[in-house]
Amino acid sequence: MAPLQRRALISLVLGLVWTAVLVVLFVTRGGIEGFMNDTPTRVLLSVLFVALLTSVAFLGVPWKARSGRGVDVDERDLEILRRAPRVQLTAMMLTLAAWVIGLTEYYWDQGSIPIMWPYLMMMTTILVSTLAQSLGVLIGYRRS
Amino acid sequence: MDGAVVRNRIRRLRFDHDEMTQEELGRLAGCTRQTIISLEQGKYVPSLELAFRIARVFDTTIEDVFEFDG
Repeated sequence: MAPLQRRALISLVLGLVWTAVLVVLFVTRGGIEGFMNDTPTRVLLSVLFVALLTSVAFLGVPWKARSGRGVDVDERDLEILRRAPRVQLTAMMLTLAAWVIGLTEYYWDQGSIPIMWPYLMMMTTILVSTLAQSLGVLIGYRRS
Repeated sequence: MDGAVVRNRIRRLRFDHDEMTQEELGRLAGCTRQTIISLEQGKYVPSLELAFRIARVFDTTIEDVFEFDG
């Protein structure tokens, strides 16, 4: 397994586990109502979210790759890295589409959506983007 | 361009050069062992630069290592 591939796999697994923890916390602490009305819950989830992004970025695919030119990361790795944003972009578009369609349909009659939803949209889109980059790298290695 | 394939004789040339390992070839050519594996399996087509570097390791021409089957 190439070093970049190993890092992408670790990032993806770590990201998925951490995401599962965030979802469980979100649900068990009252869902959107808890997130809107309970400041400690909002702070806790936000801190965990930032910690997840920081740790994945630290393990991160692009930073490590750029710092390790030479035999550790070669032209094939960089080409795979350059193609990974295709998966990232697709995943982000699907996430946004799902959010917008879901919220619009659910709150159609009210004519507006609770203020906290856009906040969660942002968090999930960034999260999906981060995980999709690792997934894109892994798909790239599988194909070449 | 559909159906065009770049074949190579890397595995054969490694064998002819005292059974050079993939690791050693990667080190000499400036790429990872995984890239050598991918090249030998025909999954990856190298850049012109890497192709020249591999040919240089085997002290031969690029045409002797790679063959365009288009």
